[in-house]
Amino acid sequence: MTELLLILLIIPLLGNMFVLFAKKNDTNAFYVAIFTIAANIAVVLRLLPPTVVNSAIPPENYTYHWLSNAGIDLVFGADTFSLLLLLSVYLSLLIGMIGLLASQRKSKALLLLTLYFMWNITGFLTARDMFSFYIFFAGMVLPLFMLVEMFGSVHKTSVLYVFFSLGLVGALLLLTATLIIYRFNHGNVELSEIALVSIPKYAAMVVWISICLAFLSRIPIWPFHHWFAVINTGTKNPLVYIVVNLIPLTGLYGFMRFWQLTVPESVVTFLPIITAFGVITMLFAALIGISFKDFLPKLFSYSAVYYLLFLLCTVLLDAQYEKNIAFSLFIFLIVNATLTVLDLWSENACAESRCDYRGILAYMPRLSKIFTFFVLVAVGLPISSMFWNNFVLISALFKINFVAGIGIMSAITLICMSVMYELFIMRNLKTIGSAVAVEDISERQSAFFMAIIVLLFLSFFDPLWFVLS
Amino acid sequence: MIESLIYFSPYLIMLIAILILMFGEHEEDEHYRCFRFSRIMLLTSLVLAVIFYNKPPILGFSIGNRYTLIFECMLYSGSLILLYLSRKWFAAMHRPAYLFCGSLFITLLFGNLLVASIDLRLSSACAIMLMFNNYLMLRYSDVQKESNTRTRIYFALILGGTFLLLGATLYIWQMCGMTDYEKIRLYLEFEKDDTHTYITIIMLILPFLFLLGLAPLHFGQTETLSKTFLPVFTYFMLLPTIAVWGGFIHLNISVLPPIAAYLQTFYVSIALLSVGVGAIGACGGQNVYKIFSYFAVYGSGIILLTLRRFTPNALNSGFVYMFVYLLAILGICSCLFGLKKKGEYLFMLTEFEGAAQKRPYITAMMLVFMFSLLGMPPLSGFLGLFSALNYQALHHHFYQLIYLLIMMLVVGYAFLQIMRTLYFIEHKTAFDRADSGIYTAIFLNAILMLIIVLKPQFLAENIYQMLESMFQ
Amino acid sequence: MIAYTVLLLFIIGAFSSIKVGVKADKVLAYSAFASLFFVFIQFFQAMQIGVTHTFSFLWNASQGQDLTFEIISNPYNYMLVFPCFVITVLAALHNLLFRYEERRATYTAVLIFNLTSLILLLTSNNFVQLISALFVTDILAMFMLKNSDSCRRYCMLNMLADMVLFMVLAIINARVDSLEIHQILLYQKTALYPDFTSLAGLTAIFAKLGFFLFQIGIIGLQNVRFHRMQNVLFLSSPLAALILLIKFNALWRVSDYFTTYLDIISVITGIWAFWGSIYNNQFKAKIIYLTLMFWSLMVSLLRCYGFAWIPEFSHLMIAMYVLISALYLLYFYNNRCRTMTQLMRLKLTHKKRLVSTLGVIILAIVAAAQTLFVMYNNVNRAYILGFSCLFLITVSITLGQICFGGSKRNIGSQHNIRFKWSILLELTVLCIWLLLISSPNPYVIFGALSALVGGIIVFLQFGKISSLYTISKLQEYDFCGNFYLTIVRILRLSGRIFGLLIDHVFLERIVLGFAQNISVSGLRAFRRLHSSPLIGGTVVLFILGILIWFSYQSAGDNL
Repeated sequence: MTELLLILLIIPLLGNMFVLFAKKNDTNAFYVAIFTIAANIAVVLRLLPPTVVNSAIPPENYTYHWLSNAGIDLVFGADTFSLLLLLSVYLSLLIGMIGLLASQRKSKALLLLTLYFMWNITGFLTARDMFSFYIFFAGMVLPLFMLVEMFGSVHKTSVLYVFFSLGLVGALLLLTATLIIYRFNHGNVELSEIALVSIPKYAAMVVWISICLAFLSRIPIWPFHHWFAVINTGTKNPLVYIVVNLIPLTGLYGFMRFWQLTVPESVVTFLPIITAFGVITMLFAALIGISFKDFLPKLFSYSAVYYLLFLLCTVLLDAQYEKNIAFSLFIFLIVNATLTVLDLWSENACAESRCDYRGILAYMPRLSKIFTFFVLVAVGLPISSMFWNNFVLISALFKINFVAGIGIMSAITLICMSVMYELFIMRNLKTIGSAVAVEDISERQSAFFMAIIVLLFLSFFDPLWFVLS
Repeated sequence: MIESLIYFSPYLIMLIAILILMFGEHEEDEHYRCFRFSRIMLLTSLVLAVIFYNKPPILGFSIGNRYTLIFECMLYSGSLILLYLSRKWFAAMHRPAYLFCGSLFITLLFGNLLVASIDLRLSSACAIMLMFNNYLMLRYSDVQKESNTRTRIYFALILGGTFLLLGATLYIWQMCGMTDYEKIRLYLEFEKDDTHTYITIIMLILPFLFLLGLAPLHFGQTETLSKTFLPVFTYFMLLPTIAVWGGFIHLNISVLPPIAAYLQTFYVSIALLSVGVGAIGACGGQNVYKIFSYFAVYGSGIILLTLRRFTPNALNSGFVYMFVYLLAILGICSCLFGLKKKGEYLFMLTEFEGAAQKRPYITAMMLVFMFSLLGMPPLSGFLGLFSALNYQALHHHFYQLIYLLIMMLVVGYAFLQIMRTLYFIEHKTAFDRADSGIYTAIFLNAILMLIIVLKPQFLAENIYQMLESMFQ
Repeated sequence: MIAYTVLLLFIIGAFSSIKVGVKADKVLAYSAFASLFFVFIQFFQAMQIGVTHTFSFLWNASQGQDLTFEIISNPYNYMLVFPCFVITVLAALHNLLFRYEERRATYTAVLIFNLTSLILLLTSNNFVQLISALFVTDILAMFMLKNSDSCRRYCMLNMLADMVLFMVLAIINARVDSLEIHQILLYQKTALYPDFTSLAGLTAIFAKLGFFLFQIGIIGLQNVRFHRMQNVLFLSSPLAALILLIKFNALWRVSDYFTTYLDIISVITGIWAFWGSIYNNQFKAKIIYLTLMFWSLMVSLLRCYGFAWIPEFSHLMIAMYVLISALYLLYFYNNRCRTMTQLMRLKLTHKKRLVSTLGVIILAIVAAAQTLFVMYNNVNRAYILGFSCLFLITVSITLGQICFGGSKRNIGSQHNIRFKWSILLELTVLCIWLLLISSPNPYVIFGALSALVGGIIVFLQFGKISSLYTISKLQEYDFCGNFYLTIVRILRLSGRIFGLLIDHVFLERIVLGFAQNISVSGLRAFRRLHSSPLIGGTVVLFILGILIWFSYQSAGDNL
C-alpha cells in the first residue's frame, strides 16, 4: 500500500510534464489535467478502505531516505482523515476544472500551476515528518501566488504583495520551528513523535508560537482575513478561486496535526486569545458577508466563518472529534467549490445575456436546482453528513465554552441566512425585469453535479458510503 | 623538473592561451575561432587538472587535494558554460572576444592558484591579479564609457586593496621571516593578542572581502556591474566568486585559526551587514543586474555567516549553500541570455515586461531559479538555505536566524517585483528568438537541480568528504 | 406499523415525483392519491387496533453517542399522526379535484413527502432525527410554495428558528451527553443558562408558528396561490412547531418564565390576529390571520392540557382545515378576487354551490365550536372561551361581508334577504344545539350567546367594519416588516462600517500605509547613500572602522 502513496505523489508531477509539453491553444492539456485528478481520486479511493477498516492500527508509512547523514528521512503516510481531505481537495479541483470556460481550458499555465499546487497539497496532506511537512507547506506559496497574479484579476499591487508576504512569512515561521525542533532532536522528527522531543521551555515557546502563527497566517482570521477577502472577491476564475479557498485548509490541517499532539502549557495559555479572536472574526466576517450584495463575497464570508469554526473545533476539542471535523470539512470543501463554479457560471451567463445577475436562476432551471441543493447543504440542512457532524462539533464547543458557542452559532446563523437570502434573490423572477434568453448548463455538466449531489446526499446516511470496505 | 612541468601543465596551457589571446594578432570577426580555441584549451587544461589534481602545480607554493579539485572543477565548468553562452552574442554584435576569453583564462589561472596556494606571497599576487583582471573586464565591458566615474572608483578601490595586501604580506614576511601558511599560523599562535597582528590580518582580509563584494565594500561591484553587459555580469557572478571563496576558505583554515576569536565577530558583523544591505539593495532597483548584484552581496553574507568558524561542519554548510546559490545564479543568467531584443541583452526591469507571454519556458525557469535562490522548497535552494540556517540553529544563534529569515522576506519582495514584471504586465518588448543552446543550458541546469533535490547526498555527503581533506 | 406507513408513503412519493407528460401526470396523480388513500385506510385500521411496534436501526455512532433512527408505533403516536394524515389526504384530494397545479402528481408527491417527514418528526426519539425531520419539513415547504419571492421571508424566518433550535439542542446535548429526548428531564436538573435555553427555544417555536413579532413570515404567504398557502399553514412549519412544543415541554419548563412568556405571546398573537383579520382588506391575509388565531388558540389549549395531545385537538385541526377550504371555495366561486372590497362588490353567482359551501362552513364551525366547548369544559379557562368567541366572530364578519356586504349587483334584495335569514336560522340552530350538548356552564351560555349576538349583528349589515378597508395607511402599514427591515439594515450597516473601519482604514491605510512609507523612506536613504561616492566612501570607512574596533574589543573580552 505504501507504493500507492508514492504513486499519489508522482501522478501530479507526470501530469505536469504532459501538460508542459502539450500543444498550445488546445484542450489536450485540460484533459490531461482532468485525467490526472481522476487518477489521484482513484488512488485515494483505493487507499481509503484499509484505513477505515483498521482505523485503530496506525497506517503504514513510506520513507524516503533523503539526507541520511543529517538524519532527514522524508516520511509519508495517510490515515482516514488526510485521505478524506485529499479526496475533497481533488474533487474541489475537479469541480473547478469542470467550471472553466472554454477559453480558460486552453491556458497551459493555469493547468500547470494547478497541478503543481495539487502535488504540493498532496505532499502536505500525506507528510508525516516535520521536514516534508514544511517543504510542501512552503511549496504551495509559488503556485498560489502565480495563480492569483495571472488569473485572479486582482488589481491592487499592495494586496498582492501582502498576500505573497503572508505566504512567505508563514513558510519562514514554520521553517524556524522546524529548525529548532531539528536542532533539539538532532535530526528530523515524525509528527507523531514531536511530543517526545525534549525542548527547553523558551525554545518550545518560540517553536509553538512560530507554528501557530505560521498556520494562522493561512487562515482567514483577523487581521489576515482582509487579504484573503480582497483576493477572493477579485477572482473570477473558478479554479483559482477554489485553489485560494483551499489555502485555509492547509493552516487548519497544520493545527490538526500539531495541536493535538502536544502543546506546552505556555502556549495553551494563549488559547483564550485564539478563541476570542476566532469568534470575533467569525462574527465580523458574518456581518461583512451580510453587507455584500453579491453571492461570491457572501460565499467567501461563509467559508471564512466555517474555516474558523473548524479551527476552533481543532484547538478546543479533543482528538476524538477529528473524524467529525474531517467529515464536515469534506462536505464543506465540495460545496464551496461547487457553489463557486455555479455562481461564476451564472455570472457569466448574465454577462453574455446582458441581464441582471439577480433573478438569473429563474432562467436557468437546471442550474437553479443544483444551486439550491448546494446552498441548502451549505447552510447545514440535513441533506449531507455536514449537518450531523456540525451538530456534534457545536455541541462539543458548547460543552467547552458556552459564550464562545453562542458567538459561533450567531455567526453561523447570520452568514447562513445571508447566503440563503442571496439564493432567493437569485431565484426571484421579478428582479430580472424583462424576459431574457439565457443558456442553461449542459446536460453533461448537470449530470456531473447530480453525481456530486448523490455523493453528498448519501453521506447523510453514512459519511463513508463510497468506501468499499 | 619535467615532473613539475607536467603537474604545472594545466596552468601552462592557460598561460599559453592567455598569451595567445591577449597579445596575439587577431581579426575583428574571429569570434568562433577564438571561442573554439578557448574551449579546446580549457578542456585540455581541465582534463590535465583532474588527472593531476593531487599534485601541487608549484612545488612549495601550492598543494593539490580533493578540496582544490572541487573548486577547480567549479571554475572550469563555470568558464566553459560562460564561453558556451556568450559566443553567439559576440558574433551577433561583432565584438572582439579575445580579450574576454583572455580575461577568463586569467581568472582561471590565478583563481586556481589562489585556491591551491599555501604561500601568502602567491595568494596575494593571485588576489591582486584577480582584482586587476576584474577591472580589465569592467573596462572592456564599458564600451560607451557611460560609467567612467564608477570604473575609476573601482580602480581606486583595487589600488587600495593592492596596497593593503602588499602591506600585510610584507609586514608578515618581515615579522615572521616566512610566508608559508604553516609558518604564519605558528607565528600567529604566539602573536595572536597583538593589535598590530590583528590590524595586519584585517588588512589581509579586506581585499578578499572586497572581491567577494561583501558590505560595506560592495559599492564598487554593485554599482559598477549595473552598466556591464551580460557575459561580463555572469562572469562576475560566478568565476571570481568561486575562486576567491576557494582561496579565502583555504586561508582561514590554514592560517587564521589562532585569531579566529577576533575574526569571528568581524565576520559575523560583516556578514550580517551584507545580508541586510544585499536584501534592501535588491528591493529598490530597476536594473536587473543591480538587483542580482545586491543579491550576490546577500548570498555572500549568508555564506560568510555560515563559514565564520571555518570548522568542517561550517565548511560543509557553507559550501552546500554556495553550490546551490551558484547553480541558481547560473540558471538566472542563462535565462537572461535567452531574453534579447535586437541582439542586445536586456537589463532594465521595464524591458522585461510581459516576457512570460513571449518566452514562457525561459521565464518559468527563471522563476524557478529565483525561488531556488530564495530557498523555497522543494527547489534545490532550500537545501542550501537549510544548511545555512541549520548551522545557525545548531550553534544557538537564534537571533541571527530570525534576522536571516526577515531579510529573506525582504529579498522575496525584490523577487516579487521581477516576477510581476515578467508575468503580470502586458508585454511591450519584441524578444529575439532564443537559440537552442540557451534552452540546453537551462535544461541541464534544471536537471542538475532536480538531481540535487532528489539525491542531495552527493552534495551533502560525498562532497563533504572531499572538503574534509582540507582539515587533514 | 407507522414505519410501514412511512415506507409506503416514501415509495408512493417517489413514484409520484416521476416526471412524465401532462396526460400521464393526471393518471399518476390519481394513482398516487388512490395509493395514499389506501395507506390511510390501512393506517386507520392499525390505529383502531392500536398496533405497537418499534422500528430502529443504528444510524451513526460518534463519541459514544449512538444515533438511532427510530419510528415508534404506539397509540399516542397514532393519535398525533392522524390529523396530519387526514389533512394531507384532503389536500391531495383538493389538488386532484380542483386542478391547482400544472403537475398535480409532483405536488401530491411533495405533500406525501411532507407527511413522511412529519411522521418522522412525531415519532422521533432523539434530537438529530427530530431536527432533521424539522429541517426537511421546512425544505419541503419551499417546494410547496414555489414562488421564491413570496416565501422568502417565511423561509428566512423559519431558518432562523431552525438555527436557534439547533443551538438549543446542541446546548442540551452538551450538557446531558445524550441525544435522547427524554434526557431533557436530566437537563432540568443540570441546566446551563436554563432561562436562555428555554426562552430561546420557545421563541424559535413562536417564529415557526408565526406568532406576534414573527408574523411577517406567514403574512408574506398571501402572495402565493391559496391552496399552497393553506397547505403550508396547516401542514408545514406551524404544525411542526406545535409538535415541537409538545415534544419539548420538559425543556420549556426549565425556565420559570416559561408559562408567562407563552401566555403573553399567545394572547397578544390572538388579539393581533383578530385585529388583522378584521381590518385587512386582503382576503388571503384574512385567512392567514384566522389561522394564526387558531394556532394561538391551539397553543393555549395545549398549555391547559399540559402539552398532552388528545383527540379533540385532531378534530379541531381537521375542522379548521375544512373551514378554510370552504372559505377558499367562496373565494374561488367569486372569481378569486383578492380584496374584500372586490368580493363585497361582486355579484354572487352559482347559488347552489354557494349555499352548499356555506353549509360546509357552518358544519365545520359547529364541529370546531363543539370541540372547543368540550375542551373548555375540561379545563375551564375563561380566555379560551374568549378566544373561541373572537374566532367565531371573525369568521362571521368575513362571511357576512362576502355574502351580504357592499352593494351587490344582479341580486334581488328579496332573494338576498331570504338568503340572509336562512343563514341566520342555521346559526341559531347551531347555538341552541351547542347549549344543549354542553353542560350548563354560565361561560358556555355566555359564549354561545355572544357568538349568536355577534353573528346576528354581523349578518345584519355591520357595515362599519368594512370601512376599515378604505383606510389606505392602515392597509399599507407593515409594522413587522419595518421592524425586520430595520434590523437587517442595522446589521448591514454595521458590517459595512466594520469592514471600512477595521479593514480599509486601519489595516490598509494605517498599518500597510505606515509599512510602505517606512520602506520607501528607507530605500530612498539607501539609494542616496549609494549614489554619492563621497558620502558612501565616508560611511564605508566609518562602518569598517567601527566593525574592526568592535570585533577587536569584543573578542578581547573573551581572552
